[in-house]
Amino acid sequence: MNVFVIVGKDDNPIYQAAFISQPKGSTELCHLHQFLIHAALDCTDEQVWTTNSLFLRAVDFFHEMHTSAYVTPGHCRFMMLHDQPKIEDNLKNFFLEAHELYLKVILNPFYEPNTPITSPAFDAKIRALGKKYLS
Amino acid sequence: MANFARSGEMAFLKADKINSEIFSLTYGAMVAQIMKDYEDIEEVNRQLDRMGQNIGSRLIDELFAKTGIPVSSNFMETAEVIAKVGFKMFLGITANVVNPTPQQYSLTFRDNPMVDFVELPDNCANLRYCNLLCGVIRGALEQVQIKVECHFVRDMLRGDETNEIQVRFLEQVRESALDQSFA
Amino acid sequence: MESRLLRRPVGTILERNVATKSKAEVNLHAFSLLFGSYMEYTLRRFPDQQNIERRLDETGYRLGPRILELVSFRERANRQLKIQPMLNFISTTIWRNLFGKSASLLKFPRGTWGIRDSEPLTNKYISPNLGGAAFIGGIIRGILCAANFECTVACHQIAPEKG
Repeated sequence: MNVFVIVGKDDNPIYQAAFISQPKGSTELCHLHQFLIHAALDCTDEQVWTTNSLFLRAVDFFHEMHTSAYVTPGHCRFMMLHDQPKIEDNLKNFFLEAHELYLKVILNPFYEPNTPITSPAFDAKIRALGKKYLS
Repeated sequence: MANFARSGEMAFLKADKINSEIFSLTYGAMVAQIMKDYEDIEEVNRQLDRMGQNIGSRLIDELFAKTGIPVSSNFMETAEVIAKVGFKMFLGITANVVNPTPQQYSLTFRDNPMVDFVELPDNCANLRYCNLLCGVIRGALEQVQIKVECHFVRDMLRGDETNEIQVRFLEQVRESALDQSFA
Repeated sequence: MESRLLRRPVGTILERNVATKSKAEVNLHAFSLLFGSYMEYTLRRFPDQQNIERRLDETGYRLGPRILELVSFRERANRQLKIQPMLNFISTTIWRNLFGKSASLLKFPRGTWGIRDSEPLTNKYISPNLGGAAFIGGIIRGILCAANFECTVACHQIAPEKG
């Protein structure tokens, strides 16, 4: 199971995609994810100043869930919550391609920064990335 | 006609140029700002047109200065000058004149350096993103005493296969009419 | 009322290539004319001269984060951790990407910096007294804030000097 979240400047999720092979009780899962991601955000915010690499591998490990992060030069945070340790390259490539998609979204003058990304096409492409790199 | 195309190309070649991305990004930021200033999209369209008009009135001088081509006060003749010289020398675009009559003509073009990265959201169906161009044409022709109405009939931002601006002749403005405005 | 709905499938912008910079160019006069008319619009809407600079700064500020992300992506640049490399990145790489040239980075006492561009784009063919450079200042401010250099309230003070 993998949960991908893009977090805006106000620590609000602006995009979320769950790649779940066996959906369990979904509301509980949702709350747990939010909690874990928020906890991981603090770790991310610390690590962000220790390295200038965009990809921060495991920033947190809590409650049997790993969190990896990728922070763009504009400090947009991509978080991946996963229960299996991931092959690093796959995760990195996922983040890189997601980064490019994100860039295209924000270049549109009509997109208001830090607001939810609602484009179904964007969602479809992220899910395709999930299939490609995370299954 | 070939002369116009060559003049346009030469003027563009000799001009100082900038990358189209800074141009489109700047235009995008301006449109977004104007949309924040005015809730009503029709008002935004009007403001873009007005900005265009402001540009058009100054652009004619630049065109004449750099190419020596006067914009004719004959409506039909203006079509080629705008398409081959105007569009080319300022925006680097190749535009074509379509269906010219003494009453109207259309200008078609596909490349547009104003719309890099732009995608109209659903709630902006009424927005004429490039309305500035219509204002430019209107403002420029006013300088040669031709009053026109100008609007997009096809828009690639809306899914059309090309961009098409229709320019419709309204009236020849007499010099004396301009004098009256100072009375 | 426009009766035609948007036929273009939303999301085609995602197919576009951003990795390479567009080769298309426009006449510098086109930019100046556009910018001048925007200044005229702003002055009409907000007749106070002080407001013009603030409004242009705001418009530029919208662009800052987008420009930072775009140029960084293309240059495969990492995040900047310290202010000097960040300002270096702005005055060289970003400036070159936007304006085709570099600017100079100047260091002043008490944590103040200057980015000097002797011929800023906004002042070509437009009188510098009209405050157009505030647009570029806004872009810089937007970039620095996006990169989380909050300490630079000084980013307000970092305005491109003219000449």
